[in-house]
Amino acid sequence: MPKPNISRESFAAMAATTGLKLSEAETRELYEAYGHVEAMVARLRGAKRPTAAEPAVVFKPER
Amino acid sequence: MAEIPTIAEAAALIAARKLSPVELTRACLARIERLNGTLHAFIKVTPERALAEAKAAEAAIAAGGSKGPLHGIPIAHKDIFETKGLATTAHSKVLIDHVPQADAVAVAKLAEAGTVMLGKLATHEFAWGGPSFDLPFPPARNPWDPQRFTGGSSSGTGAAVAAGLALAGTGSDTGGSIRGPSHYCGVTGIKPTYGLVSRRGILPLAYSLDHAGPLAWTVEDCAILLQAMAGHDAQDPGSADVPLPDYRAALAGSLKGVRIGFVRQFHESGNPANDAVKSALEAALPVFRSLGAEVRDAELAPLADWHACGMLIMMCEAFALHAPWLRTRPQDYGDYMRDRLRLAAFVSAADYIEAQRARRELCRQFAATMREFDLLISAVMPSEAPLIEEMGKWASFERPSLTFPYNVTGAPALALRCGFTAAGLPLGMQIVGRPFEESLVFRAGHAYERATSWASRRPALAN
Repeated sequence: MPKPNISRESFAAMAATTGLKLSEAETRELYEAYGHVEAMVARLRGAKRPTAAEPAVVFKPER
Repeated sequence: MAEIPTIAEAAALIAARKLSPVELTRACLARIERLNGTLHAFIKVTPERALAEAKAAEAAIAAGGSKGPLHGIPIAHKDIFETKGLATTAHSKVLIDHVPQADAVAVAKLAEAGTVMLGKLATHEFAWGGPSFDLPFPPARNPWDPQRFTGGSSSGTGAAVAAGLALAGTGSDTGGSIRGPSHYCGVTGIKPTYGLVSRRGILPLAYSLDHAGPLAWTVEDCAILLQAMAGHDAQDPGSADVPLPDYRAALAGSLKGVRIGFVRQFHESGNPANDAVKSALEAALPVFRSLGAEVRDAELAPLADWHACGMLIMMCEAFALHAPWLRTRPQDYGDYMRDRLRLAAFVSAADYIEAQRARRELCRQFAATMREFDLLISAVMPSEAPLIEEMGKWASFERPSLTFPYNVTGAPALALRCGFTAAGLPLGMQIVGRPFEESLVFRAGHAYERATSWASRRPALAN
């Protein structure tokens, strides 16, 4: 499992914003798994897309 | 009745009055009675209803009112497909008392085609949380070796079809949930183009990635089933309004001149496969060449990019859907689903948008590749079915999925047998087409299936 780059304290602060009730042990387990999320996010953020590159899901007005 | 017929075989026998739908349904119910205690493929069996539907089918056919090749064919539905008056639980305590007021569109269409419903099939919790041992029902087991994983999330469907408990079943596929069980259980399943089968009445996992399709024994059976399931639904915002070809008629065409790309990079470097999988895939290539196709390597974006894109989108869409229950009833989820959803709470909105921007870019690259090729051959899983006890909570995060790319693109992907390990466990491959070109995907799969003998093997316990 990739080791998270974020500190435990910063992760705990993020957890507080989720609205989830997490015990210390649950927060610890999620923290350890969070390295997977960081790795995936880093892959996508690493690609330099033009500002005009739109998401795949776009709004289409209907009548 | 000892042999388990395919749908095409059963339909021909029924049409010739050599097989009764009631006899066929009784045979499936007897196999369920004998094997479901080991396989846990069904979480609810409806024998009275099945026999009543089989008798009605038999009477209608005898009176000259056949509805076609699915009339009188016993099938079952993954328990995220809503069934009117019959609990649809998503294999979860969260929905343990959920009794829908209407059938899912796909369920209704298959019923209109004359199928007989045997009951509801095991799934991973809400099509993501599994295999789990802390849910209201046990996880399905692999008929080739009940100590092994079926794949998921259409786990009960894969097990039921492989063991002949049903001739076919429904599945959904957000990141590989039709194709994984097809590979591990040695059956055939198609994830059709996004929007080809209505999602209305199927409990969602991730709105922009969810697909529905059939699992059955052969490619021809999948073509028959998809014909019944597909079609525009104005009440499903993702539904495609496209003409439907005759999929079964298209099976007869030739593969001469069809350009097939082999996506070697995915299973060689993206998620390295074991030797058995590599050998089985390599051995499929000369078969396609002998059928007239041109085969050469194809290059797509790195597998990890596809995985990151698909997984982040799936996590965010699933969390958005489950957040209210997760905040108020976390104890009603199994441990795997609860923690996977909780982890999804830590993906930001900006990262979700970035994943959707990456998706457009990846789809554009895929479309460019598909101007050079008519079809792709791609691995499904990097190995044979692992032991079920080895499937950890974060397994799907640890190695990039070989199936996610085609959920990201929405392209049709058929999974079918292409070999067995020395120990007799099945292995599969994907045949991938351009969006809405299921006919060519089926044609290639059918030609390959007829040129090989893999479909003649059934799990020993089914005999």
